[in-house]
Amino acid sequence: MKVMVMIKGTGADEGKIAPTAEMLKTMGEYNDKLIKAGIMLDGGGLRPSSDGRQIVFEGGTTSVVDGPFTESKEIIAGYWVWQVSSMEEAVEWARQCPSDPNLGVRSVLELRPYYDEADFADLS
Amino acid sequence: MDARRTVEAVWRMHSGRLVASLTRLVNDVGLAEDFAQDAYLAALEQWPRDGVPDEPAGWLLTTARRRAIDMIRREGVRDQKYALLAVDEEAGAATATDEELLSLVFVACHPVLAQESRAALTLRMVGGLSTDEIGRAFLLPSATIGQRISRAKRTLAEAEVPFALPDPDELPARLNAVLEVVYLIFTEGHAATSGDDWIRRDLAEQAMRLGRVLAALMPAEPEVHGLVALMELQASRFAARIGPSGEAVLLEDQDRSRWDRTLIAHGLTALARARRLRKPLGPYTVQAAIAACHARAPSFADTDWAAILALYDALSQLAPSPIVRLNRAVVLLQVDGPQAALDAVDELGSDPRLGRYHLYGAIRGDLLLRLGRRAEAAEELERAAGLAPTRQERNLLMERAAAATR
Repeated sequence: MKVMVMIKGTGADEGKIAPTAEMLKTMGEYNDKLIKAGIMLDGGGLRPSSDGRQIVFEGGTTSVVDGPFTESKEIIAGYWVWQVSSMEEAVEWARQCPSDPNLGVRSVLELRPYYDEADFADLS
Repeated sequence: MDARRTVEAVWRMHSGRLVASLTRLVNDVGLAEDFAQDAYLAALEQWPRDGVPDEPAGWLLTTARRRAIDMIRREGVRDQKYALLAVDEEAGAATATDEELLSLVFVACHPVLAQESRAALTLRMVGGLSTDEIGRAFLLPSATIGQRISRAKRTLAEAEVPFALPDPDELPARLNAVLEVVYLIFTEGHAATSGDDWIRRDLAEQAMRLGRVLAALMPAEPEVHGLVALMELQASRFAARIGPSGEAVLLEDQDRSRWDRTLIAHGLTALARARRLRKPLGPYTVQAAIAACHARAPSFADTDWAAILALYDALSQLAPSPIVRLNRAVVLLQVDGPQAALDAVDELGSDPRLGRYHLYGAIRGDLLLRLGRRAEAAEELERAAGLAPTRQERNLLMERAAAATR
């Protein structure tokens, strides 16, 4: 099964979590482990939301909102796509993700399985 | 979360390196795997009750080592097999290195073992699949798989196969044996050769995963990347190749929007890695390059058939086989038309290996139909239906035979 893993933080904390050399190194080691386990299909880090845009569709109008999204509770800072044998396995890999307790921020990994063809069997 | 499923997940994640670590201690992969299994059973008993430990992999290794050391001390007095083992408290205490994990793969795919045992042993020792799971995947009773695995372990012990990487002069042949096992596992999952289910996707995913592990551990071997690319590019079409009632959908008719773009991207990257090593291309890489032409094509009509034909010519040189020549003939249909393709297919007709192959008749029937030779086409398709290994394929060919004369 394919699972998307999203790294989420709070919009207000974005300034505090600019990647340091140390963080890049431990993240690199973690990525290496995922690659050697054969589960990594894709992954990437995203620039801060100040470089982002939101396209909002509401009541028939479409508007473009420039970043940063400081009000947002959940800012996606990066993602992976893993191929694993179960959600439990994805959880076990995710638990090993490095996190720095000294940063004083709350960050979340959200794991979401992709739709499978079997999910659409009744629709086609 | 369900603790039992967590135990299973942790087991699959770590069993390969666990067995490799223990082999360093007991010097016998079969014995090492038994101790690893003991630890797994202990985890199944204790974790649901006491909770999952903070370091699940470390817990499994410590438990397995303790059992191994106890056993060696206890049995060493009576049994010579254990007496020979020196108990080194330090050995096997650390997680296996990449080289040790790789050695385990080479041992599981060792040429002293029967081909069918290599796949079972690899799935069991490296992939962490249970005997039941392997049996279900290969549509065999788990008792049969169990016997294969214990026989294979005995063979390895008797032949005193060393737990090490192959010597450099042996490496090409030994690596080829490993890749063959991985691809066999993949094709078993990709196209069921027996029984009625089309895709045993778990098996194919296991194979892709094994391939990616090998690619990470042997980055300088182009064929490893080539095999990863081949498997991923083929697997990217899984969803599109089965219709709503379980029937096969031919490449020409597939909805390309349902191809898995993530797998295609990873597969194309793997292919680029294989090419970038600037060594002569091997058969897996060439087959991946063919699959890549399809993956890149916006539609069946807009496919670079000339490039595919050239790749098939290369493949016929590298790995000559009647199947490759048959596939080449199908490509010839797109480049030079049905008569040229039929001529090429008829040239192959005398090969007895193709006589019992249902796709030979399916292809020949289709070409005859395109040339308006309907009665001959129906006859050929009916004959092919009689040789088809699965019910779906048989039904599909019978329908096409009936449609030919309608």
